[in-house]
Amino acid sequence: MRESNHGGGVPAGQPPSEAWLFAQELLGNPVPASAGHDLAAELEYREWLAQISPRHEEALRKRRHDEHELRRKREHLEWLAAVSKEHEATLRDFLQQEAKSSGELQAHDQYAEEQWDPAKHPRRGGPPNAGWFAGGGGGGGAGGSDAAATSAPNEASATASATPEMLELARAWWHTNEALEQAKRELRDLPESIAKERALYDQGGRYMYLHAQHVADGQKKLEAAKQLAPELEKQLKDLKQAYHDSGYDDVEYRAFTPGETRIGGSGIERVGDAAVNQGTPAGLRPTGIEVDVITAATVFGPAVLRMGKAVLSRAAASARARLAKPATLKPYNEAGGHHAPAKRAFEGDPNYNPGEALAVPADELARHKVRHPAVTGAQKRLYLQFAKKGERLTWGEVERIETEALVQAGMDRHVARATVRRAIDALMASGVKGPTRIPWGKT
Amino acid sequence: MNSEIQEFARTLIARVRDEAIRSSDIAIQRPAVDPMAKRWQKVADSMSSDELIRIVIADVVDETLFFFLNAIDDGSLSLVYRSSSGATVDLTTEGHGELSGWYLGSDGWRATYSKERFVEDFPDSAETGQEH
Repeated sequence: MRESNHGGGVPAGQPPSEAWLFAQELLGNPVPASAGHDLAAELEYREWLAQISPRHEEALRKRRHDEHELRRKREHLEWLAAVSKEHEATLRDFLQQEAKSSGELQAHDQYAEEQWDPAKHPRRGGPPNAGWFAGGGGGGGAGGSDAAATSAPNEASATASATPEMLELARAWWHTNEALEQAKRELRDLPESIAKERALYDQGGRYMYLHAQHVADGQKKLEAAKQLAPELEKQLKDLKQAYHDSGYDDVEYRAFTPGETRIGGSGIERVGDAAVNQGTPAGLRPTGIEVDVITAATVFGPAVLRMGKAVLSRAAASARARLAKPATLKPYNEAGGHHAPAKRAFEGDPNYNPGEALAVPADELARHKVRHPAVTGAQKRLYLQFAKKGERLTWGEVERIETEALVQAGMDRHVARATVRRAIDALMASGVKGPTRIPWGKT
Repeated sequence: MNSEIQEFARTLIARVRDEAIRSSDIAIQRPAVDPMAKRWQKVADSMSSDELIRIVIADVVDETLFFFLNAIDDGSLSLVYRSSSGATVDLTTEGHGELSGWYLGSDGWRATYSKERFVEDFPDSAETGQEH
């Protein structure tokens, strides 16, 4: 039986012709939402519709906006999930909902509940950002960690001088800016929304309780946004200042988007954009799910603040470490002082000479307000604690113990670390192979 | 007095007395970062001057003995000890440069043999800064 083409029908098994679609549009009749399952063809079809119809042009624009928003939200979630179990669960739900609602898409295979693969969202599990996502090579690559940033394939174009610390600052700035914009939107829109809900409540009716709840929720969010906005604004300024102080302003960083648009440049805004928005293999598609998982600044704002604070703290520590100079070291024969590392640790090594080994002279210890007996006391305790483990003493342990001993005696940690490293470097350069025994230990 | 004893005297004063005084002076610098300096400051802020002097006496004796042993450790004071049995031991050689460390700590000579008060700033347990 043949299907009639009169009355707006489309021949079975055939795609609608452009003329037919154009006619339907002029008549105001509904047109098929999809040209088929071929995604490229569907996009082409929608673009064509947009050319002939303002309504579809608007729909296409909305679709593109939604795609952008979804991608942005996913980036946010991936970033927040790195520090919050709550957001990790939200991310998982988000990806699963996305997959379910677009079952025909490849994303379904990737994110179906039974196939959630933690390996695609690995956490680094160690300092300084325990819990951050590392590059999994999957769809979440863009919102990742320093490690991900430096290993993602599409970052091959990144300049050599862009450091993980720089990207971390830029990424934190970008997310803070997003959260601030969100808070501003809430400050702008919520009063009207609350007023509408209040008016509906005043009208009475069976849904009064819902309107009352909406008014209360809206007021709560508004208060939170009022509190968050200035804090986010300050954090934004602090991140920019830290970025500037670290000397990153002129360092370029570039990457590609999923559509292979090159983004980035120099400056925290552009670098942040590139660090966050660089390509995800599959990209995101609108799901039709009307659940806005992270719209409120009340939800992600505090998490952004916590993350920003951590990033700023690390940046400050990193800056101090860069600036830290070791204490003056001289061969022990010249000025005496404190052997760091302890000389007993190298007894028996033919290349070790305690007289030529570098030491912190007494006046240098005094300059750092460090007493020799205090360092020796801490040194001995730390070596004896290590000896109880029954492990072999290594260069790494020597560095840790000697640094800690100086710190416990009152020296700045960065100066202590730089000092011990320099002393160890000198020992290694003189051919000392490594520790031969644990000082004050029995072996 | 022969020249060897003169040399011993010079070394003793320079490496023990003077270094102990200079090192103790660090404890009166502000802000205090050294453990002993922090203790002194705390006592000075909250206790009588007699209490402070009482603590300082023990600390300065320990400081002096530390530098005495440290001078033996690095060979500046090359001393040989004759035991009650008549056996001799070269303290620098046999001490392996660790005598000053052996003096300190929860299991150190001071904690083991002293009958007078002292404060251990780096004990094995958590009781840092407590007087013994």
